[in-house]
Amino acid sequence: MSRQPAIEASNIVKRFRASRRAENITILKDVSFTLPRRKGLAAIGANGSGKTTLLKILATLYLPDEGSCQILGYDLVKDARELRKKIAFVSPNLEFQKKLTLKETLEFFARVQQVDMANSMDFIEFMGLDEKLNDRTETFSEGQKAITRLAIAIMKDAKLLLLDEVTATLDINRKEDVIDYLESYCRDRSLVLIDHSARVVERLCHRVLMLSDGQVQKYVRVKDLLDEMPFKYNVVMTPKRRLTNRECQAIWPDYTRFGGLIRFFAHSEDEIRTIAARILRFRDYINFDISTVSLQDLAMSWTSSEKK
Amino acid sequence: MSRSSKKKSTSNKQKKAVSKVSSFYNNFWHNIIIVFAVAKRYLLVDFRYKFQLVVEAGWTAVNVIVFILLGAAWQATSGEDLFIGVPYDMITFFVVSTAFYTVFGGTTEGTVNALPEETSRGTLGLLITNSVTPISVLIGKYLASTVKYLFILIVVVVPALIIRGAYPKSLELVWASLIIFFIAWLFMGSFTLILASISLIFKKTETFNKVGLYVLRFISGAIVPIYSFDESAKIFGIPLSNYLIWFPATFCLEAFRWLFIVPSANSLNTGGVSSDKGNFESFESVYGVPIKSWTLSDPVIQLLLVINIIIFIGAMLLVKKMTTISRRWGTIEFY
Repeated sequence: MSRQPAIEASNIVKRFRASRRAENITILKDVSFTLPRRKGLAAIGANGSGKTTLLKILATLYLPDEGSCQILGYDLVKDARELRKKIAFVSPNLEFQKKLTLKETLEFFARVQQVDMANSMDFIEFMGLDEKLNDRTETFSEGQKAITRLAIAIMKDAKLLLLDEVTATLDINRKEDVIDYLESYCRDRSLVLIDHSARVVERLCHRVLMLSDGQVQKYVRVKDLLDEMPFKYNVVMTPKRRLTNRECQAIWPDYTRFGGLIRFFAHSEDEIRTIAARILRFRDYINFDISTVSLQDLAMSWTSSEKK
Repeated sequence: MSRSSKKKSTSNKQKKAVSKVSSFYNNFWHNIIIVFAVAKRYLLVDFRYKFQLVVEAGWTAVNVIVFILLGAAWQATSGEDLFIGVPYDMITFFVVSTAFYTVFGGTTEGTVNALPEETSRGTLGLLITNSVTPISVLIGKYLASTVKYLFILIVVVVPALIIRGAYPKSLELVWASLIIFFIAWLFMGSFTLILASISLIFKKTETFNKVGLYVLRFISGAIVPIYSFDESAKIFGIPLSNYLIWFPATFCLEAFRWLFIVPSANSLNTGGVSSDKGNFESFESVYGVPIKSWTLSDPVIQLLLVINIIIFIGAMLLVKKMTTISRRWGTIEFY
């Protein structure tokens, strides 16, 4: 059983019932992919592309309407009960009984899963939340709740972690701590992650599943995806005022607006030099940064295309 | 097939059977642990909402007072001719109704709302992915609610029952009351699971649940005595109450009234004189239920127990089926 991949999804279709007269809404269309053991996968895509639905199917919350899926050698539908002992699912929408303390909450989940609390206590201590053990979770900030959710997931020593935006509500220091912890924790585990932070994806995942409108657009290694990017560098400029399209094109024709910022895309170092020189001549800017491409760029271009 | 391969195949089958039994046994105990853990969680939470607890106890006290007054008024205006045969008067009738529905009405209402509450709070997904199924949530909550409402019963309603003289007068009657309590608990548990299973598919079921509980109160004879219509409503010449009594909630509520007011267990079969009403007839002669001894050895009690266990298992299977449907439709997490 251990030789089998962590996930082997084949033609998964998920529809949700709309109103009685309307047709069902198809959220996932023939989603297929294979994730080897001890590898991390990031599901990325615009809002409504089906990432969370896919994760909830893998977490046995929803049943697929068509297709099949083997997780850690278990059938997703038939062996859901056994499978739940091997996987851990964390979503930002998962909450706790607010009247229970952190300790009581952890004890409850340890009891129902018949596991020891040691793993989660290590994590709680690592994140500095051990002082809050006797506080009710109703007093917790969103960041502290996110840590508690992760502590519950880590508790059962799962072989597959399904994490949906686990770092979204964390401050920058805690985010780094969580990534550090997960990086070491996931070394001998498989991971499926949804996270808008490309930095998190780059550090924790080996592969990327790009979803669009419920369909798999690409399923590639993170490195290959970066190589496939249409540009190698980008220059992000913060202008003093809103620039006209003509002014932007005068600096460099390959550009996009992102919030109040303007991003110029370059294929070579020569192009970077040209862009930088033109910005310096332009003068109406506060600052500009040059960097190589990363998943952050991909996420930004996806978000940008979503806005359009 | 050679003898050795036959032996191998038999041994494999035996191994598989043993593994299945062992897996069933492990899962069974795991489920019991989960249910008790869920019950403990709900108990902690329920008793921490102190204001809610005080309000519920206060509301129960108001109910007791109102129904005592209603019973007294009913008796004063209608006389007691209507109730010939039963050992209790209308005040006892209503106080026992209040006691019954303090426990089982409160328990049912608390439990059917458990899944919508968990869903709206966002905790159901976390529970399900951590081996706590909706059935475990419901049974755990049902257990916790039983403890909570028994607590309110003891604090608020039992004093009224004692003042009325409505309590088991012998050890035999105490045991009989416990058996009837268990049957009622099973039946109301099934009723609760059936109502709760609907909330997995349809949202905003509060009104439906209230209607269901109100209809149950009426059928069980909590509001109007079931023999009220016996003169006018007969089926094949047999009074309506003799049919209604076979409905588990009706039987249990009526049995409690008798068990709490008769002077001895023997008088249930022979009739006698009660403190409430004077002369009364036997339970069998009023309702046609042939119970000879109110113990587990009686075939009628055994039949009631078996039927209610079957109904309970059926209700659990219904919740399981509805859970599967809600996982398919995606309604399991929506509220």
